[in-house]
Amino acid sequence: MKNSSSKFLQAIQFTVLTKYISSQAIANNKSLKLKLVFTLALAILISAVQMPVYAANTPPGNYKIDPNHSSVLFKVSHLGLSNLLGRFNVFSGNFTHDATGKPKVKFTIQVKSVDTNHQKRDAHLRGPDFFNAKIFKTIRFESNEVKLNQSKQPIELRGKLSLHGKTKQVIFNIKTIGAGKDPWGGFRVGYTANTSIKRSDFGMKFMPNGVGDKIEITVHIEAIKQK
Amino acid sequence: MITDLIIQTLVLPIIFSFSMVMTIKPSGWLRIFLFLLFFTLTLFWVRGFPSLTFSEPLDWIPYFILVIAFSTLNKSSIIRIASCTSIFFVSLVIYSWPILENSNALIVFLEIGLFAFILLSISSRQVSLNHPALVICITATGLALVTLMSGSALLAQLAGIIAALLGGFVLYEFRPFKAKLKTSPQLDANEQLFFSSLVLSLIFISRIYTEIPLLACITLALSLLLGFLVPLKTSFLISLILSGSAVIYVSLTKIG
Repeated sequence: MKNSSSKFLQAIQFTVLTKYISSQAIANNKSLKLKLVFTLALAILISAVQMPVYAANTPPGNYKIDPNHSSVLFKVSHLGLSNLLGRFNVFSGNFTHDATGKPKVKFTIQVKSVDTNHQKRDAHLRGPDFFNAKIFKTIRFESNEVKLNQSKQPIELRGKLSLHGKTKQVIFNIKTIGAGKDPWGGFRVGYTANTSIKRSDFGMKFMPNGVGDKIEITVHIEAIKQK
Repeated sequence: MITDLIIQTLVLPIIFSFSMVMTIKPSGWLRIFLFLLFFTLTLFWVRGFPSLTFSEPLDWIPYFILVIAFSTLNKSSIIRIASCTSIFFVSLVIYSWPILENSNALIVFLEIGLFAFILLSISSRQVSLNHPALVICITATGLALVTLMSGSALLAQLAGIIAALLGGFVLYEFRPFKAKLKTSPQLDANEQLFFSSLVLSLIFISRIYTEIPLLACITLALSLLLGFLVPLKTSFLISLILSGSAVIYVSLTKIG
């Protein structure tokens, strides 16, 4: 409903704009300027159509996370003096909106893909001192509860995080960024999720003075509705 | 942080082993179990209390070393050697178990067989007269440097603790002062077996989990073996050359 009304408004705006431009062009008799302004108006229209329109309710169905437009980031203190940022480059996941609008999320990260923009540090993180990626190949999250706000948007996601051979309950704070149709006829939705964990809770206790215990995790997700 | 590291890895182990050498006779079980207790407590201090799920090799290591320490107490040398080697073999299989499904199992088993054979060869020799503490100390130091360059400060620190524990013996043996010895500073056969199995276990774990080149691992293991078996007073020089070669090789491959 909201989508169709916004398209109707865009169509009216386009008609008014083109009529105004045409009358101005005839008056000034400048055909070059007319072409330029027409092109500009067309570009504005196309971009307006392509921009996903915020939808209050994400339609039920299965959504697959688009890894090309998503990211998994973490932040950890170094020596208590500064913060170090890192990311995981390989991950996959999906979620399901059921009739109640509560998403069931499954997310898997490949530990080997840890990237802190420093090859040797990444090798150290993958080794037995921290992640031990040869034994614990993946980090997994599976939701079991979601809290919605008044407009039925998820604001809190609870679930089990499995990391380094241990599974703990964690709570992600969720912010819905947007949802709507993409230029290729699909439906996309975007969220940002934040949480913080203690690495010692997951058995990663080495170098407590050098590497902070608290890890802040931010996940930016763009997901595509599956047909 | 650096102070903690120096205390954990150097100061405490050297003081502890030096006082062991000064006060407790080498033959018997007490010294081995005190060394084992010290190593285990330091491991917990460095790494935290191990997971009871036993999902990582370092969760297992104190228990296997305890069993190996028990097996060294058998009076029959044949039973002692056989039990030590077979327990060591089983421990290496368990350390490598999590990665077996994704590795070439045949190669892993060949490496396990090689390490078990090296321990068997060391344990067959009763008491070395060629500075055994110095030989193990040099190999453990080489291993610490190799693992540090290969990306594991934890394994490097554990190897450093073993090197420092043997450093207490070396310090006593090459002491500048000339005090009369109440006890022999030499490691006895059981202690040699205990420390050798510990160092070989760490070399193997480092090989599997930090991907130290096979050549460097074999060179370190040979440094231990030849240091014991070559019947020269200066056999520790062979250990020094071999361990040094392993360190240079890894520094060229990892850093260069």
